[in-house]
Amino acid sequence: MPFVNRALTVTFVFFVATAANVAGQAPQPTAAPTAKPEEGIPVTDATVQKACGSCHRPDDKGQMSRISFIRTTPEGWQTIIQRMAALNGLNIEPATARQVVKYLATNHGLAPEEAKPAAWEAERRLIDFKYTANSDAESTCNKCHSLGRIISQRRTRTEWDLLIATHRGLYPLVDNQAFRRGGPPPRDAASDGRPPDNRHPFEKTIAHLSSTFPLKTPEWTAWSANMRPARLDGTWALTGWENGKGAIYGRVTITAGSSPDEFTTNATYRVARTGETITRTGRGIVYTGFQWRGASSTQAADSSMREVMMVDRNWRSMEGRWFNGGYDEIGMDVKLERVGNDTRVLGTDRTALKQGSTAQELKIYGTNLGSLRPADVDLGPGITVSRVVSSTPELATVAVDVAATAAVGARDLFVAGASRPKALAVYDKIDTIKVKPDWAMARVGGDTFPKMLAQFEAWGYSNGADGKPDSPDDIELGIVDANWTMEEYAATYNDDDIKFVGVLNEATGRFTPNVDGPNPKRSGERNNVGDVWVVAKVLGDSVSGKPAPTLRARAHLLVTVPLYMRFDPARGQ
Amino acid sequence: MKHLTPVNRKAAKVEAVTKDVVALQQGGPPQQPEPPHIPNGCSLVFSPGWEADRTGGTAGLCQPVERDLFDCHMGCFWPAQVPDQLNHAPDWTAKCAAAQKDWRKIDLIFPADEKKKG
Repeated sequence: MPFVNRALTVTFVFFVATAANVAGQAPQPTAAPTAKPEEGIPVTDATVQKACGSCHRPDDKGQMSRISFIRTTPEGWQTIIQRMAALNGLNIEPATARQVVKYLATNHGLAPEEAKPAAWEAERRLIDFKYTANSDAESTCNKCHSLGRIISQRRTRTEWDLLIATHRGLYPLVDNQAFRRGGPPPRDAASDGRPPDNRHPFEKTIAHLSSTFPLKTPEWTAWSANMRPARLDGTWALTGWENGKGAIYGRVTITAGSSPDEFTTNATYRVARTGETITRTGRGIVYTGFQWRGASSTQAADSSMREVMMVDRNWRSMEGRWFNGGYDEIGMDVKLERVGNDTRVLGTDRTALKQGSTAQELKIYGTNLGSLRPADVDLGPGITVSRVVSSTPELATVAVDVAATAAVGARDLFVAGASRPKALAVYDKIDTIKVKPDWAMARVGGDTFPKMLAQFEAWGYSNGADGKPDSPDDIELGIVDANWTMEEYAATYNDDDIKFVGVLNEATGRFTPNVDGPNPKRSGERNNVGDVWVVAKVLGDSVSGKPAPTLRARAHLLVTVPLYMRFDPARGQ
Repeated sequence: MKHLTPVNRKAAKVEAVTKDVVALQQGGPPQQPEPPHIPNGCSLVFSPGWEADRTGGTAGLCQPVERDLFDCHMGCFWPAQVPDQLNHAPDWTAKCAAAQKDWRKIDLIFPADEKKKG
């Protein structure tokens, strides 16, 4: 069949030609040597020199290849060491690795101004981050990585080049996936008449990153000159927010440890709404003079939490997140402020009081509250403190009456000279509720992989003076108890995700996903993944004899697949 | 159902199944003022994405994921999410001859640990 043969030959030649064409466009190595070597940070620590020096030989200035030209967070350095162990044959004792991380995170670290925009990465927050400074850099990196990983690094131009080259060496598909332009180069001149920018996305990305995140910055020069171990021992007031439970108030005692940057901790705090008391003991290390990395636990099993906080440069406050869970998804936002002899009001158990309600008990959390009299507590016009039920230095319980004519709105709380602005609100009725967060992600697990949970909260609002919902004068009333259910998020015809994705606790708003693995009971043996609405229902207030309305709000929950590989900064600590 | 009216039998069936077709009309107020959220990290460009498809849901994902993992693993397609055959975990799927049956033998990989095991 000569005709067929010929056709095959033609096809073959065509493919060869195409392949040759592609080969002709093959990218060249990107690590362009610079005319003048860039100056790095000399490594002066013997442990680092010994652990890393056999490959990263120091030059005559004490600069070690790669290492001296990168700055990043403790997590960043730990990931680098893990990668050296995984891919480059590094054999290092955990104790030595900790020393190396400590030295490098401190001496090749970030200044507070540099670390803050990327704090959410170390705090392991699931946020919707948009990098707006450069769309090429965002799309080139974000296709595989969280941008937090990129913006928490500083490198020389050569190092950014090498980072790209490493990716192209290790992952052959990356050129097609993200680094190189798909389709022909632009031909039209730019609006200002200049020739079109024919650079590939990765080339534009290198240009952006090396000018935006260079090794040498004024911030780092200033911080490294002034850096010293932070002296944090003492007593600290703890305020925080535990997702699903609400505000927490308490105290943390920090004690100096075996070296100037190590500490032990003892924290006792209460969940404001429920009064549940929790005591945690732990330890922490402060890197770069301001980056707290700790771990603490209660007596209970599986209670260990990692602590990531930034210490303010005045050593009087620190802020961050404590977390645990299979994907670090459960946790709380915390703020610690140094306690002196002054009285301080941290917050109250209730954040809203209804007009015309009487003999309402209100718990006030604080420091050095002393022995209070009713006259010491001032909640503003229309609220009378009738008596002090109990009073300790950290918790006072008072009984209050709210006049029926008390004006609706937020009230500042004054206690014996101390104050807390907008501690609570007076309201007439709950008009609307909202679910926070308005979206969340969970991952199936429990068989082979961990479960990633999701936690929701229902918040109440009063419409305020204009009587309209979602307007600036709405009065936030805080968390309200809700009844939680799931509803189908109809993404496809015959969508039945709700039957498989997992269980939402109807009282607490915590979603626990179903197990991982193919489910033979689903069409196509699909996993127990899916999209659902998480719906909160709250019984509103009855007005002028009418039946109380049911208030409703919802959030989108995505229940998806596990992560199969993780560089876990906590592992091995 | 403010903005969509069924014009044929299939659409009428969809409406009969659920009054809530917000997911089908992305961007409609008031429950969804913005297009759906795409979680941290992943992509809209790859089709499907890792955790979410390009509409922000899961309906377009390769399912079950275990059936698709080999392709990701061997082609290094999701190197930040799936252990890759070239570098981090050459033997990741060695114990898993048939994903449907042996999927429990696919481990979560912590790269430094993997090296120690080997």
